[in-house]
Amino acid sequence: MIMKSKILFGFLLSTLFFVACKKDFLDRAPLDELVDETFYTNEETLQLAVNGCYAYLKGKATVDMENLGDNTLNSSVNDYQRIGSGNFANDLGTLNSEWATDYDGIRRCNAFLENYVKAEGREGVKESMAAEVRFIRAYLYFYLTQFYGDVQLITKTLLITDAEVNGIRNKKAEVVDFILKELDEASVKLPLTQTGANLGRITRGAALALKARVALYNQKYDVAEKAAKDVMDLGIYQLYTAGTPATAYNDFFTYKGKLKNGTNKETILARMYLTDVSVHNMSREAHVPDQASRWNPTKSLVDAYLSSDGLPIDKSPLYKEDTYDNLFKNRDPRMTQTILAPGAAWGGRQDGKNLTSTATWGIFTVPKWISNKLGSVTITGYYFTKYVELSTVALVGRDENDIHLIRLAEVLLTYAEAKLEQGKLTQADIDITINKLRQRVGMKAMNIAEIAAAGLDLRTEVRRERRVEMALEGQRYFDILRWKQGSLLAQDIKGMKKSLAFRASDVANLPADAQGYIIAYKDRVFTDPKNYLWPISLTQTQRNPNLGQNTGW
Amino acid sequence: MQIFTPFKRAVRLLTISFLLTTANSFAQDVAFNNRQSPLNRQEETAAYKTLGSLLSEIEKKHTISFICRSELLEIKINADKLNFKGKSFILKLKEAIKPLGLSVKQVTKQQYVIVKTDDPITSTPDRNEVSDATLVSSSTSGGFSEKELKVSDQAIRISGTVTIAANRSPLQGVTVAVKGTATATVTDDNGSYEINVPNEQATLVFSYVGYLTAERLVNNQQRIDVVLEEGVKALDEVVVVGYGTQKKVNLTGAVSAIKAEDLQGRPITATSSGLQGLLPGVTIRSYTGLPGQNGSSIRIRGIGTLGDSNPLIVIDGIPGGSMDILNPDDIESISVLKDAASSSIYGVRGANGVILVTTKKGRANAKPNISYSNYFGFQTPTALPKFLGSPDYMTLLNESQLNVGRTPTYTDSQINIARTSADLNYYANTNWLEEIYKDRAGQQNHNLSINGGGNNLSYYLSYGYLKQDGLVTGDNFGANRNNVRLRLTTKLIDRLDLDANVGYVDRKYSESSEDVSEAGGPIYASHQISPLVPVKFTTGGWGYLGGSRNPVAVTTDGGYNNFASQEFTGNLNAALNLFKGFKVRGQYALIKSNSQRDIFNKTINYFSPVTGDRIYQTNFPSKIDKRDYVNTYQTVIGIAEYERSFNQHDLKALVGASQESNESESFLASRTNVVSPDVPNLNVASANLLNSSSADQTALQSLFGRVNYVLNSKYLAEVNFRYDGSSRFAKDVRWNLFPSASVGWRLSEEKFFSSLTDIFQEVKIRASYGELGNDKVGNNYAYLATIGPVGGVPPIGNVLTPGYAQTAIPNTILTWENVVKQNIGLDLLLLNNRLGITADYFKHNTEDILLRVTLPDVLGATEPSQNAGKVENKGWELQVNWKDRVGEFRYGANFNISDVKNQVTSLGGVPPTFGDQVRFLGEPIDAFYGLVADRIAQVDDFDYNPTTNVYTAKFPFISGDKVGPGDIMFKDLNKDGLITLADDRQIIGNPFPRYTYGFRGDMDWKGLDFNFFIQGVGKASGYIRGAARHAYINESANPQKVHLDRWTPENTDASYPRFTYQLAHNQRFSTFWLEDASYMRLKNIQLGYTLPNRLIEKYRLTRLRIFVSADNLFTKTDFFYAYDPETPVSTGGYYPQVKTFIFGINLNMK
Repeated sequence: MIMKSKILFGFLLSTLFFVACKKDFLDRAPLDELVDETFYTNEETLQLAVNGCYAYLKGKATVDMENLGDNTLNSSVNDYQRIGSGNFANDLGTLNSEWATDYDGIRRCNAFLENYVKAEGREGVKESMAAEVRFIRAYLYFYLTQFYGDVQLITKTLLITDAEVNGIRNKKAEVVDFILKELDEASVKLPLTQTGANLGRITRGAALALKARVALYNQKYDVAEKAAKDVMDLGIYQLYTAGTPATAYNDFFTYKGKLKNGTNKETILARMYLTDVSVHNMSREAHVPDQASRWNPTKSLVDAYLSSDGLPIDKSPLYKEDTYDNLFKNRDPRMTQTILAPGAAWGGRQDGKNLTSTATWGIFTVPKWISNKLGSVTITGYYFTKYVELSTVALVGRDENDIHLIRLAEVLLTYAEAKLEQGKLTQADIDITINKLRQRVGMKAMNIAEIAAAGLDLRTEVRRERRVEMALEGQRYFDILRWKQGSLLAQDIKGMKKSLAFRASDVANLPADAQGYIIAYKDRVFTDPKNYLWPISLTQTQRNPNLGQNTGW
Repeated sequence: MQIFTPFKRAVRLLTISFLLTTANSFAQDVAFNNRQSPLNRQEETAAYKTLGSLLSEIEKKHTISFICRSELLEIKINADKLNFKGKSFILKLKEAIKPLGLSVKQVTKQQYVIVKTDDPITSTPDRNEVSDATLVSSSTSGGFSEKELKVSDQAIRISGTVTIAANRSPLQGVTVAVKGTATATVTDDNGSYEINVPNEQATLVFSYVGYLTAERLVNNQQRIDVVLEEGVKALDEVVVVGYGTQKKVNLTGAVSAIKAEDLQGRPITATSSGLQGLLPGVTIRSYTGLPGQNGSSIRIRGIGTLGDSNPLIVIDGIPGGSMDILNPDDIESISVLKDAASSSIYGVRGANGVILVTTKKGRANAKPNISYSNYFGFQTPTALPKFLGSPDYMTLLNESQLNVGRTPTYTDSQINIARTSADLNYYANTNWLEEIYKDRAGQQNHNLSINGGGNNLSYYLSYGYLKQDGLVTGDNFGANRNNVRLRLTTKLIDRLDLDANVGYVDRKYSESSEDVSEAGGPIYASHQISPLVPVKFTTGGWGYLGGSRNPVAVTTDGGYNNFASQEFTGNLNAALNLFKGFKVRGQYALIKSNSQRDIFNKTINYFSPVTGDRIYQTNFPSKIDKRDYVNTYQTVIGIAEYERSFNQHDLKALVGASQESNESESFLASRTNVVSPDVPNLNVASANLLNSSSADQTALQSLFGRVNYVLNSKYLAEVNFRYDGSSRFAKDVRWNLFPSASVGWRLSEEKFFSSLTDIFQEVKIRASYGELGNDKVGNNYAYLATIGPVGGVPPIGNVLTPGYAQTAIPNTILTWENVVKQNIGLDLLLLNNRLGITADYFKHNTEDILLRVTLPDVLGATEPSQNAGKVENKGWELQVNWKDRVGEFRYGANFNISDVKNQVTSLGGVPPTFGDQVRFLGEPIDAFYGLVADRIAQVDDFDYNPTTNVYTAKFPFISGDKVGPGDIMFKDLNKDGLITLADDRQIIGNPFPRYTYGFRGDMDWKGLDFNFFIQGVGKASGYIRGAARHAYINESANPQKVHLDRWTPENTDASYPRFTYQLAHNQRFSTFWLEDASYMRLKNIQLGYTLPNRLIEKYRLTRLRIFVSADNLFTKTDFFYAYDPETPVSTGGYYPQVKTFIFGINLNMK
């Protein structure tokens, strides 16, 4: 009996042994990830963390933001277009995803900024990296303030128990001051140029240029002027003029203008793309050869281009609207480098003219209206050529053009506008800014005296310059809002005159206004002040009622 | 380990006191065994043998066999001087056992029976007698008295065979006795017997352990074939419970069980699906019929958690396996543990209930039984959408565009081209549903098994093969599975039982390179592609017109996604019987799986029928992607068990310890630009050489125990505990104790009940209370802040740039969910054991729910799970069985129904979660939340301005919506004159099914068997989203036939609102789109015929049955016509549910 008890006890003990004595049996760390404490240790891991923050640079999304404004009409609805048209409620997806994504990025930046000091490494290198991250955080706050006005200003990684999680919004002005200060401080830590393996990283110029944009958008014209001037004075950047004036502007947005080619000194910050790694689909969207184009220039944009005599089309004797071809003649040369002109190469295959021969499919002659899946259909009568790389139209999602987030042209325009708004814009200022841009494309120079003589408004002309130079670069919506021109967004989106169609039957069933212009999209609304800001999304107000809501929503 | 140490001490103390009790009780051995025989008091010396071993020796020497009651086999006999070599061995044996009160009698030429000299003949079993589950070949209907036992030499000779009702296979060792006499025989290994009866009025009694005793009047028959039914004698029924078995009568917990025959003859490809409707309180839903991946989700008594609600699956004692890859034919039984009493022994993993699967083993002392079964059949979809053709598509597209102020796409002449089929390249009229699906998909199954055994060894060896073809066009869809199982059970040195159970699964399933998913893949694409697109151009190449890929091209030519897995399960079990009633068991199991996934994205080129040049490519660049996964699971379990009866006391105790670990690793490599698509191998691809890997590990340590106590066979009590430590939590909060207790009362055993026992054979009430846990946090390291690679980084420096970031916010104090489960139940057996009723009422309260509290996104990362909130599940279950026979007609019915009401009782102080499905206090988890639709607005509901052509609504609507006549009007719930999503939505439905029921009927008559199985859901809501339900809400939402009844100024009484091109305000979730997902379905119907023995005997066959069977033949439902109600929430991309028609055979040979 005792014997048995011993055997039994021995058995149970040995059972307990393997349970109790292997102390670390339950300590199971992840086998394929690093744990916080061991991560921020050296320059290499810091670099990986900085790279993680770059994922929040917006890239092609900035071009898509053009749908918010009045330069383009998508044949298909997207959230930006819904917002631009005013026909949306606070449950629209983008209202929430923009907020959530920006704050995701801000958390990632905050995590770096809280931890980078712990790492071993050269002080200068670490601070330069931190400055890149501070730029990205400021960039995200810039978009948040643009869309939502007041937003929560979070500068640390929040714990779920932190009061800020359910906090109230900070005033927009406070956040803007933060952005400007951060960019100021980052700019001095950042290198002047980033080359080789660092090509595409943030530079001092980028910090100053973004500062200029933020200041301009927030009516801090003196700050904007100074920041813009600081960029201009760096002496690093110059307008892209490779090739001929007839092509330079257009080339800049194709593969020719890619940073890696080394000829582009205009771009201050680009979101780079690379085949098989990170690509976009802009070219195919513009000329999609079997559907309706996603990018249809509006009558409003087409009409914004001056005649080559420097006068608006309604004042210029050179302007003729008798044929489709003539629309494109004697205009600011940027027009045909932005909007596809008859005779230009395109990727849209069958156009509206030649329905039998396939020999001329590479050249665009007249717009195509009939959706027969053989060529790119327009819904306004126009197509874009800016940002279209013809070699990739036939492929899906194979574009690797850089998306230029900030370029010298914008800085020059900012400088001119900032001066103007302070009432001190001189011809000399125009000559080193707007006229540089006109000079690149061979457009007649802007002259204050001539503008006055023609009875034109200088401010309108400076703003027009910004619109045509920056078309498709995602700024039109913000410009309309800050210029308080919201009513523009309530207008019907129109296309060309029906009478210009090559075959009247093709456009017979399309609605048109009294003057015969095609109405491509109607029932747009803009309520002042409601539509000057986005609403805080339903999801966020339900999760945190303390956020409140923007006026009118 | 600090936490653990005191507990270890406690267990040691417990163990010691346990041992003391054991020693005492052993001393009392004689006293409490006196109702058998005093003989096992004898001291154990070399000269003593058990009667069993003695009889075995004699059997071997003289080619005869003995029948002996099992409890007698253990009797020790002083066999020192005995020798049974000569012809007088029977006399010698008689002499030797005479002092034991036993004798031996011959019943046939070669069969002898050991009888007690004082035994009366009883034809019904003694209710109080504890039968032995290990009993091999004896009768429970008693022995035979010496004075009455005689070898009959009278006139009538009866012969026949005895078979098992379930599978019609012959049963060896059945006692066949002439009622009221001592004449008896047993069946041989073909189930055959011969016996002499005194006259035609004699009755034969057929009895065998575990089967219902059958009686037959001889009359003028000379051949009497009998079918015995298994398990009907509920008193002896044994149910598998956690770490052991329990007699059903002694159960105090809520356990439902099914047996092998419940799954028999059905075309079950995944075991989980086969369980649907069979078990009350178990809700099973299948979302897909995809070959090889069509397992179902199992919810036991509702959803008790907001996280992982899957029950713990335990296969042959090993937790965490997958029953869907088992061969259903290898399964002996499945038990579902539903309340705390039955499942708290699984502690931190038991909260969602536990399913115990037990595989078959061989039968000792039985000749090899070879069994083969097969079936062949095919599948067709249960429901498919019907889309409109091109002319309708174009006309209605224009209508939808004009409705929202956009320009129409098609001219009348274009529509006419489509109508007249004048251009089959650009204006085709393709029915994509017909193109993407085949008419039917084949399915076949083969099972071969051999089982049998000798005295000390039994074996079961099986091979199963299942092949399923796919319904999707192309050769890519399909699955096959090979299951091999070997189980050896052996007894060593008299005290050690070894059980080795080895399983091997080799399975494969494949899809096209685009795999089927809810909102993607080829099936979804076939709903989205325009009917104008031809499958192929007239020039021969694949058709493409832009906008969407050609799904038929993709499934036919676009490459594949093949998955193959080899899984080995080794399960070794040793039980050492240390002394009477006490044994220790050790178990080691290893599950090792090795899986490979091969994805080949093969480029498809599309060429213009006009110019011949390439216009489009899918899967460009071509890509080879190879993945390898290795998973190793190991567990060691040690258990000590004690079982003894003292007078009126029956005691069972168990204590055990276990540890488990799981390690998994994966490796992925890919390359693009495959040089030759005919050789899809990494070596022949030239660009983007990429690789990555991942690895993961978890561990669990546990101590557990159970004590059962029965007083007077009337009062039942049970206590369970488990102490678990899980690696999923931080050190300080890793360990916890989960206890439970339960009691039962068998009223039918009380004296006051005796007058009712003619009607009620068993009445038991039981109650249980206990705690359980759930440690499934989703992420194995939720308590750790981890940093890993992230995507989306631009190519800085024009090269691929890696980036790292923290990927989840940790919660260092995260711990398990705690569920308190209460259950009361009633078990009834009445009308001569023919009617069985089980009813249960339960209440489960889950606390500290692991809840991903949705926080404001300013947090900047996915919220960690927190222990917050409470959920209550209340419900009831009812099961009714009936089994009877009228002459040769045997029939049975089984009905079960259950309901569970789920309610969030606390959200842990955080705001509710909003969306189409919400978590609100007092409402079911993930209840449907939406607007309340009033009706479709008519022209009269608007002010019309003819000059501007503008309609202004006179009713409230959501600001920003472009409302017009034909749109849905919503109710202003808060009566503020506005419709807002914040204020005018309410709970409109519950996605979790209520009143799930199953009804099974089976009958057989003279070899013909028929059964049917109806299964259904009494109440459930569903929601079909997106293009699966709507037309023109985006460019690829194609119109279906039902959409013709949309609102137009002419059709004002419409079932669908007006078409609004790319505007989805009508499609906001509201009562308008809530589907009634209740259904009743003929799940299976089966007809079989077992050929008479005389026809098959000459082929050495003992049984041959042919059958036809169909699954999901009819469904009655009001659900949206295009999809199956078993998939109540869908975007339409799922592989359809299937009807299956099969025919097959079952045969046995010896």
